[in-house]
Amino acid sequence: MPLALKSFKSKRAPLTDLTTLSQSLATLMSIIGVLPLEILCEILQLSSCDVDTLYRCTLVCSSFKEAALPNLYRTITLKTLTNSETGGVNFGALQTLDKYPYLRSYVRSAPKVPKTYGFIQLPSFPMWLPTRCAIFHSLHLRRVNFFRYRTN
Amino acid sequence: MVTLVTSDNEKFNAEKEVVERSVLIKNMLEDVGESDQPIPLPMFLEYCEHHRGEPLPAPDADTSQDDTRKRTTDISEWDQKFITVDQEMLFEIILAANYLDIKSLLDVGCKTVANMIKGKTPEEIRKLFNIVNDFTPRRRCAQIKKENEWAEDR
Repeated sequence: MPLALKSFKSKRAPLTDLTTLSQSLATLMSIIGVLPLEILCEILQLSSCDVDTLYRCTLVCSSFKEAALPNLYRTITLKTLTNSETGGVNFGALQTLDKYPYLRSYVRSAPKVPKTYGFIQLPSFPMWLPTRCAIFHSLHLRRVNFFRYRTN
Repeated sequence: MVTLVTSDNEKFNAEKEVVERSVLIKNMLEDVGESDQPIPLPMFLEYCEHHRGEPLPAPDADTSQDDTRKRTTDISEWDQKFITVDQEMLFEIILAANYLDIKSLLDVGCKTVANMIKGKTPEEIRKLFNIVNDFTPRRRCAQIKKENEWAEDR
C-alpha cells in the first residue's frame, strides 16, 4: 500500500505546565514517540487488525487515527445511517469520503449495492459498482451530493 | 567474514551469508566490496543466524507477494520466542529491522504489535502503550466516532 499519507503535523500543546510536560515525556517514550507513523501504518495494515480493531484505533489518539484511517477505508461498507441534521438518509462512509478527499485514494473496494436498497431508491449511477477508488475521484463528490436521498 | 560494530563500539564477527539477510548491509557490502571497513550495527545477528539458509526475498518482490505476507498472521515458534521481549526492546527490534531492511524480521515485530492491539478498546490500547489521549476537546472524539460510524459493529 502506498504510504503517501497526508502530512502529519503534531498538534501538541506548548509546554505550559508540569502535566503537559509529563504527558509529552510519556508520549515520547511510548509507541507513538518511538515508532514512525509509516511503521504504525504497516502494523495496522496487517490482517489481524480487522475493521473493528481499526475503528477502535481511530479513537486512541491522533497518531493512531492517522495510521488507522487509510487502512479502515480500504474496504468500505455502504451502511445507511440516519442523518439527524437533514432528516435524510446517507451512507456514512461516503459522507466521510466527501468531507476528507485524501481518504478516497485508499478505497480499494466497496460491495455492490442493488439498485433498490431497502426502501431507498438509488440513482442508476455506475458508481454503485465501484471496484477501484478511481471512480470516487472522477465523480467530484463535492459537487454531486449523491449520498443523500429522499425516501420513497 | 565481516566485522560489525555497534554504536557502543562492541565488535561482532559474522559470515557474509548470514548478515546479507539485511538488504541494507547487503547493499553496503556490495558498495564497499571486500574491505576491512567496519559496519555500524544494532543487534540482529541471532535472528539472521537462525534463519540462515532460508531464501531471501527477491529485491523486486511484487505487491501480490507483499499481500500474501500480510495476510499470514502466524509467527513461527522460534520467532515468537525471539520476539518475546519488553516493549522497549520490541520497538527497537522493529526500528532496527526497518533500518536494516529485513522484511521478515520487520513482519514478525509488526505482527506482534498488531496481535497486541487486536480486540482491545481504545482505552486498553492507550494503557498498553502508555499513550496520552490527545483529542481535545472531548467532542473531537465524538466527531471521529460519528465520521466512522459505518465501521462500528460491522
